[in-house]
Amino acid sequence: MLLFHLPLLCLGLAAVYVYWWHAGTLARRLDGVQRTVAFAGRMSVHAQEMQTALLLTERALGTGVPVGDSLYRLQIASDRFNTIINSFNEGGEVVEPDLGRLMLDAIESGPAFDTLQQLNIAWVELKNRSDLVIRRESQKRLDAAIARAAIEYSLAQQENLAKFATEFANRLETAQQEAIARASFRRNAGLTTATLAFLLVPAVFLFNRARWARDIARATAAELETKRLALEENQRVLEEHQTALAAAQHESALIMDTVQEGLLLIDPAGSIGPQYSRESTAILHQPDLAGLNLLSLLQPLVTEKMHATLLDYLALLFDANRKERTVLKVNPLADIEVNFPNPAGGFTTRFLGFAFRRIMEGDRVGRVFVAMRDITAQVELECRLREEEKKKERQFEMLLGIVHVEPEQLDLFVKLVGSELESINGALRAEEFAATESLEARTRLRERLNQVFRSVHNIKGNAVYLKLDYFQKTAEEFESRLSELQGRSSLGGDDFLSIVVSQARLRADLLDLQELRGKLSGLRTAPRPGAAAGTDNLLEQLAAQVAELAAKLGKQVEADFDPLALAALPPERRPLARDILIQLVRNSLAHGIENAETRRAAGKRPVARLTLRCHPAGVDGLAGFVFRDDGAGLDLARIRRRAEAESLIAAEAKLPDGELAALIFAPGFSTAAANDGNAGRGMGMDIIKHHVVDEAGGEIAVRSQPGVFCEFACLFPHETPVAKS
Amino acid sequence: MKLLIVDDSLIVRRAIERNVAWAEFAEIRLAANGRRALEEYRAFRPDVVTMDITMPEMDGLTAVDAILREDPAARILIVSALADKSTAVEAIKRGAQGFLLKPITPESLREAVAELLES
Repeated sequence: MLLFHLPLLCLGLAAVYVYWWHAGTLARRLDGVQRTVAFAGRMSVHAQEMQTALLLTERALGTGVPVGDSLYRLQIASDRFNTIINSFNEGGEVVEPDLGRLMLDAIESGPAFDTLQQLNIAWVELKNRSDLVIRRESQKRLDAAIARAAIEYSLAQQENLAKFATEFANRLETAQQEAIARASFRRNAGLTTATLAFLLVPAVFLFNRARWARDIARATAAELETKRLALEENQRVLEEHQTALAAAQHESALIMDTVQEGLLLIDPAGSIGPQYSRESTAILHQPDLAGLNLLSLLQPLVTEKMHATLLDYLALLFDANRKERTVLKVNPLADIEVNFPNPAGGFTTRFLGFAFRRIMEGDRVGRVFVAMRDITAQVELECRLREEEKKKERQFEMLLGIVHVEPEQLDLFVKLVGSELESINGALRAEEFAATESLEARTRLRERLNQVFRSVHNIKGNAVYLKLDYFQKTAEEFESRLSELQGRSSLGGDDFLSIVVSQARLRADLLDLQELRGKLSGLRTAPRPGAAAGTDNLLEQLAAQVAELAAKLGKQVEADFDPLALAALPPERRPLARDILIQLVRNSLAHGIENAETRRAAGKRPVARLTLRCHPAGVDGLAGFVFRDDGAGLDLARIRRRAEAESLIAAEAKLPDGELAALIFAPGFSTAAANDGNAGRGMGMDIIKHHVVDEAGGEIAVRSQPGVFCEFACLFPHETPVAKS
Repeated sequence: MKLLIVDDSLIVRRAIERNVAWAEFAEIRLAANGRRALEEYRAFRPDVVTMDITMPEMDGLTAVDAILREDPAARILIVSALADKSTAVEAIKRGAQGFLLKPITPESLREAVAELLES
């Protein structure tokens, strides 16, 4: 741009200068030409003036008039002529009174120069003659001849001088006109150049502008095209990326939908991020987790203390200064029990396992990755395994407790417990407890309770007899619970829940025992030598129980059991006979037999005696055994008091001794002062009655003499009645 | 390297002492409660402390607080029979660097102590 404009501008300026300079010169020259021509013309005027002066001088000379004035005129005209012509010859300033001053250039060439030379020749001569006149006058030697000679020459040359002067003026004017034309041409050329140059500047500028605009437009178009292509490429890449991203998102969505683990991210506040696995919603029972707070979700599901711990733990997880390994090691959510409320009420208990991992963003923990699983099945399995293990231990304990028992006896015991549990089950049927408002219903409830007690007591008695400590303990706990219920003034259906639990435990023990029995049967198939046929070793064990109980109660007792005492019993009655005898022995020792001091004071042998004899079948077809102790006998007065206290009979009711004695078979009756675990639960006798009379269709005969003895005869019919289901 | 074992049970103290032989501690001292632990820490400046929680006079968590107040760089490994998860979190929150659940095995102790020594 500048490359074009600067020279153009310079050219323009130069042209302006040329125009200006030539215009000035022209103006000056135009002015000068006229004056120069005027000066040139003036030469002939001065020549005439000289002629006039000479003529006047001559006349003066002739008349004798002083010549001073005319010579002065001559001198002036000569000087002026001379100044003008010299100025034309050499250049110089001329002054004319009416024309003013003018600087003349020397004429050195051209037609005017030739004329000037001719004029010079003529002038030199004229001047010489004129000068001679003036010089002679100053020497006072002027005469007319000299003046005449000068006049003659002047006259002779006047025409030439005028002609030459005019021609000179003309030629000078012509030359000057030519010079003016040249200067005018140069001026016009300068003007044209300047105009063109100045016109060219904007033209070039505009042209350049246009070219520049075109170039810009072209460049812009090219750039736009490049950009468009780049954009298209970007678009394509973007689309590719989007496709890839969509595919990746789809895959991660598939993973998130399919993975069997709750996966999500939480921020330092515990808020769940927008991406989480579908399983998370199932585990946390929340359809949409995004933006929810994990801890707030867990808050209602865990204890208050655990929630506080979780808040602390979250802070530890997000504290980058704590070692992640250490923090992860104390994860309080590794396995946690949570209770989800059921829509229908109540709770569903689940076990959840959480695992955490930090996600670092620079130096800080930006988020935490949470993986969670419902580990309920696993926990339950572990629980089952633990229970299994406990059961094994229990079984082992039980095994140690039963190895001393004959398999047959064990079988009998299993059967007994089984049938008693059936009986308990029957007594605990739920519908019986539905309405407990009426007195009748309450009475029925109490009867049921008594029935359960009888069964449990029987189990306990047998367990004690067989030294099955494990069962004894279970049965005793059961009994305690029942006693506690019996002691309550009012009973509700809910009170029986604990019984159901105890019953279940007893049943579990029984199942264990059966299992063990099954295993043991493989080990012990051959009967042990010394096991007497007909009596098993029932009587021996009974005797052992007597000794044991006596020692426990601090009484001295001897067992006088006829080895054939049970010979009259049908074999299927043996288990029942054993149950009865266990009960009778316990009752005798607890209630009948006095301690040694009392006996001694009563004049009896300090060592009490229990006898068991056979009762062969009589005419009524009943056969069995007779059990007798030489204790205090039935205390009828005490029985009455007790029966009155238990509301079994009305106060002051007139009852024959026999009926009074029969009260000992009433459920819940006991004459012992306290429940001591040996007797006094008050259920012993009603069990016997239940089994002998109600079940077997037999009879019980009681004979007693206060202070001397008490005797029980248990008699069974020979024909076994149809077995109860 | 020096080790301070804090536990009210002599048996546990001895067991830990026996099972860190591999680490070749230049000196091992024992303390039976938190108060003694603090005194020993002041005098002894051990590199690692194993700390029981349930102890007479001053319990382990209180001792952790006290020790860390005096030396924030103390490295303390809690060795506790308290299976309660809140206790473990509480111990770490207070600044203990490790938590080991009793009964300890030589392997678990070794791993925990090694980790503490690394840090």
